[in-house]
Amino acid sequence: MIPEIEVRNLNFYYSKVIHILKNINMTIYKNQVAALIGPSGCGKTTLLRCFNRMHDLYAGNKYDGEIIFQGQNILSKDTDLIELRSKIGMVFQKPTPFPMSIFENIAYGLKLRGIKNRGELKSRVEKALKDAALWDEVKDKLNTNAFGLSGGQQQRLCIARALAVEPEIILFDEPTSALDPISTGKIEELIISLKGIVTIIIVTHNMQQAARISDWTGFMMLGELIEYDRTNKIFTVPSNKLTEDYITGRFG
Amino acid sequence: MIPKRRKVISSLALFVCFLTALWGIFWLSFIIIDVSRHGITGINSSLFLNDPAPPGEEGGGLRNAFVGHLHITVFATLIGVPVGVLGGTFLAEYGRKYNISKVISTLSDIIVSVPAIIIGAFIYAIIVKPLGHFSGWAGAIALGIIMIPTILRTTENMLSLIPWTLREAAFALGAPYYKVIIQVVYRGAATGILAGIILAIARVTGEAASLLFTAFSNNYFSLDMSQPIASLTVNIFQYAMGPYEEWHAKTLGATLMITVFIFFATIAGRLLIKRRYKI
Amino acid sequence: MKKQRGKFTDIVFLFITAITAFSVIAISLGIFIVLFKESLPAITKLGIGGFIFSNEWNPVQEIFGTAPALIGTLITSFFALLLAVPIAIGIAIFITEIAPSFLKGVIGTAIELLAAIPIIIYGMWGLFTLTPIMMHYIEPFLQSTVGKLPLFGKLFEGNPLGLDLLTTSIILSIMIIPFTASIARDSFNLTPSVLKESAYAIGATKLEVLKDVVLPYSKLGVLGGVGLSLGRALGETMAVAFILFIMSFNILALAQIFLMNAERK
Repeated sequence: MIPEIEVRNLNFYYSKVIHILKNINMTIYKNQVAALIGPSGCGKTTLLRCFNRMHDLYAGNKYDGEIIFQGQNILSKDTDLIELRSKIGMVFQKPTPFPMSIFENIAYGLKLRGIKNRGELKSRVEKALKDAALWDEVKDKLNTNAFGLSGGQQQRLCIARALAVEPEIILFDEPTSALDPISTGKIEELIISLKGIVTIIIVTHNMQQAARISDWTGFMMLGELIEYDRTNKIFTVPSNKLTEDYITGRFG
Repeated sequence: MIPKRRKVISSLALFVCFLTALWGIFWLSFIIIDVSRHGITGINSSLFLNDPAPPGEEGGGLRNAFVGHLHITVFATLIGVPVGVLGGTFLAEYGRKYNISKVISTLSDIIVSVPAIIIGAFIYAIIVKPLGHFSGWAGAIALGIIMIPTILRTTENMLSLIPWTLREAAFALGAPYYKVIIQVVYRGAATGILAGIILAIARVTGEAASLLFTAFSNNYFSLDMSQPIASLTVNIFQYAMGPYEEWHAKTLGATLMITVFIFFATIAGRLLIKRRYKI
Repeated sequence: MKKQRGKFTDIVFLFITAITAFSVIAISLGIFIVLFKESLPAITKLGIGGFIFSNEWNPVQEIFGTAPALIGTLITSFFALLLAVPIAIGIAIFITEIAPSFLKGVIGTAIELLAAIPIIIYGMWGLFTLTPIMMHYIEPFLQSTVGKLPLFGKLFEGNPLGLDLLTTSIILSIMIIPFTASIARDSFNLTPSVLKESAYAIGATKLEVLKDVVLPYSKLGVLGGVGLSLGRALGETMAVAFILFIMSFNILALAQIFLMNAERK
């Protein structure tokens, strides 16, 4: 087990004064799946968006503490966000296909990295689509608009887009909350199959989902990380009373 | 009993709506049919191929005005489209968090509703008067200024309609902001922006009052943008006010041509939008 | 190295867009300053009150009272709106609620095309078609009947030349109908269908749904549309009134300028 990300004393403020994340400490291990669960508004999505500094797009946000990735604190001012984001991919709650063809959607990230060779683009797009278990469904219509796909297919397209650039980590922000059970099942299978290839951090509302797919689970409440441990321990013998109450459905 | 009365009142009111609609549509189709009917008699090959004959004489055409109008409109588009699209981009993207963007949006709305004749007077005061003569450039700049706020606001609105998650998704792939805008956001908003541009062009195509103050007119064929240049709308205006039957026929022909152009521009824009969404 | 260039390009792009956006401020300020400066001589000559209320127009002494143009503008705009707004809303209701779906698209597109037609085309039509009709048939009839009434008769008093306030109002109203109608239609369409359905579900008639759900919901949009049309009407009337007014003093002044210009060549 190699640590991929070390979070140390992370605090996050919104509008400079509203304290959202309180003193978070956790370790994310390489090529494993870490899930973040907790009631709405507990800060799990906020924490997720710290890992690729998405908060920097909006004014008035402030980080405090350290997130160590590849030996560097990514919260420091010198971090090249573009480089960081090319190493840490993200998949959103709702599918976000770009207004382009299926092929171009996947090739977009590769082109950003300066890959122009048509043959290489083709083979990497194909590999990403195969990894995302979408290839068989779209191989005959790569040049049609991505909006023509179903919601579940669009979401797998977005995963393929994230995979194509071979990131170290992929962040999932409730990737199945807008999907039907069958599509959800496919995406869960996909995430399990990606274990060992890429590190995954997933935010989910669905506790069963966290139990099914993750190796590690963090339970958050009111901006604090209450408990973070191996998934089977969290769901069987949680050490914190709050965690136990939450997973047994007593609140939240 | 009571429901029946309500039903009758409802049908009656709707019938009144139907009548008003019919009345409005009657007048509007009257105009279209009338403009076409009279316009067609004014259209012949010499309208497009010949320059105007001296007043009162037979023959001649409006070749100079067609060419001049095209010139002015093309240069106005070259001014208005880049400024409008880029300015709208600033308001919706880089500048969205600053209050100054709201000020600029409001000012644009004000300029949109300012009558074009005032823009014409403005250009007259700052370009025509200092230079001492009317010019095609002054006309193109005036029309360009009329286009800017329309295109700017459309672009801003269309870009704002693109969901933020789409931009975040592009950022998450490591794209710098300008690439996010040009390669992702513009593509999503392209059809809407195009529609705005087409509408703006259609609007300035029919502009007469502002050209009267800037490009004025020219009885001869000219491609020199630094001199007064003829335009269809100003010619329509002059000829319609003039006493000669010959002139009136030409006016109606030119009027029809402008109407047809605007119809086609509008329809073409819409078809383009439809086709893009289908793919 | 490459990343540095990306950042640099980003800043350049930011600057270009910022400059273009700020050009709008420059233009607005420019228009305001120029208009103020240019109209100052005319206004100071008579004072603000005199400028607005005087009806003296003497180019030789450079006295330009704007009262006739101003009053003409107000009256024609008022009557144009009176004629146009009910018809425009009727058309919008017809398109959104009454028409069968195949007509909806056709009439909707037609209205939008008409809204795109330049004002000068409507002006041409008014001059060549409507004016003679008004002159030969309608105005003599009106003068002999309702023309005797005070105030209302003002609209078409004098020789039936056709080119008067009533004709101008009608032309203006026809100019602004498509524009108002298409904005009103867009506002009506914004009413969520769930709202309408829930009103139908408690047994409301079409009129009641329109009156109690659609109109209140889209009130602001329709008012905005009427306001925009009024702005357009006022602006265009200013131009029209201005030209009519000049012409009444110096017939064909513009044609003369035009001819002089041609002779000089």
